[in-house]
Amino acid sequence: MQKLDKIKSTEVKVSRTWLLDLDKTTVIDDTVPQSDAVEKIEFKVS
Amino acid sequence: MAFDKLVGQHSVKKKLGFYLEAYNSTSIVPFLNFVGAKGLGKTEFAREFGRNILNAEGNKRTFVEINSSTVKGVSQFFEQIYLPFILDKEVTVFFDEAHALPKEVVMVFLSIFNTEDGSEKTIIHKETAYTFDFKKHSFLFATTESDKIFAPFKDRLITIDFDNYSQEDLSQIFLNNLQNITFAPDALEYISSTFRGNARNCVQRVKDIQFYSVSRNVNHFSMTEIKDLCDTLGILPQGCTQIEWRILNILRKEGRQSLQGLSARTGLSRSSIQKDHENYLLSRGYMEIDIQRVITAKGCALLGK
Repeated sequence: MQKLDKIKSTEVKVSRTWLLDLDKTTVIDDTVPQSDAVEKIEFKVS
Repeated sequence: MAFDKLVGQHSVKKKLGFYLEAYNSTSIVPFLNFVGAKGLGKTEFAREFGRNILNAEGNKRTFVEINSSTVKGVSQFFEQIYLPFILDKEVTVFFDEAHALPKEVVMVFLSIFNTEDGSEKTIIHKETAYTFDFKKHSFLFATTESDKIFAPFKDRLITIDFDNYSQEDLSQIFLNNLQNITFAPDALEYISSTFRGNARNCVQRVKDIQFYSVSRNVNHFSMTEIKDLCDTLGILPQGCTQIEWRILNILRKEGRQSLQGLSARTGLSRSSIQKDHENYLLSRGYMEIDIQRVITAKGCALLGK
């Protein structure tokens, strides 16, 4: 537990992702700032 | 038959044909990764593959072609691609230049494309559930730089390797794109040798021929017209670039050179010579590296032309 306390909270979340991946459902925490969602993805639809 | 319109890449056609057959009986397309250098037809084959994936009504599924370098984050992907095109729809999503996908998106894809438990996958992102049904959603990827794709993610994908086109294949692509123009056999062989095994160069040369044909009112090309075209546009034998040509000339006139010596004589950095200019000369056997750089007899013969 002492070691865990030293790890940043975001890193703990990543570990949780892997644990939950054993199940069919996975919890993902996006580390990218929300402003990135504003940038346009270039794509073509046909 | 699928892919009949596309020239060459026979092993690619066989593999893709197999996965299309499998799709017709399972409704599932494996996650395919088209790997090869620029101009080998990765995107064309991915589009053609997409045209053959039909929806429940027997029509072509929607095909979404994404420039991966513009994908910046997971939220952005869900908002701009998942919600409008994937959710509750039948769709094929194609990520071009997939090595440019950012790490955090790749990490999410690692979870999405882990299909050991069946053909559906749900992930929760910012308290919202996103479900992928791989009987409705197909994912294709293409890259020129397979080594830059995160290895565990690459393991989730089936690699489709693209080979260089043969000169005969490229001649065929060339002629297919120039319906009303004819060539003398030696003229066709000469111009095909300048494509460097690359369909993109071939298509560029098609445009050059079309411009020449219209501006000079020529519909049949003999060596005279081809030589004139090459002189005008600076197209060198075997499609060598001016820098490659200069390197060969330096090696012939001044003898064997160290990489440093070649760098000093050309004004190019050592890494630029290694990465951008000497690979083609080495692969075609026009120069060799025997501690130092040296021109071969084949290279001398090429300059002689």
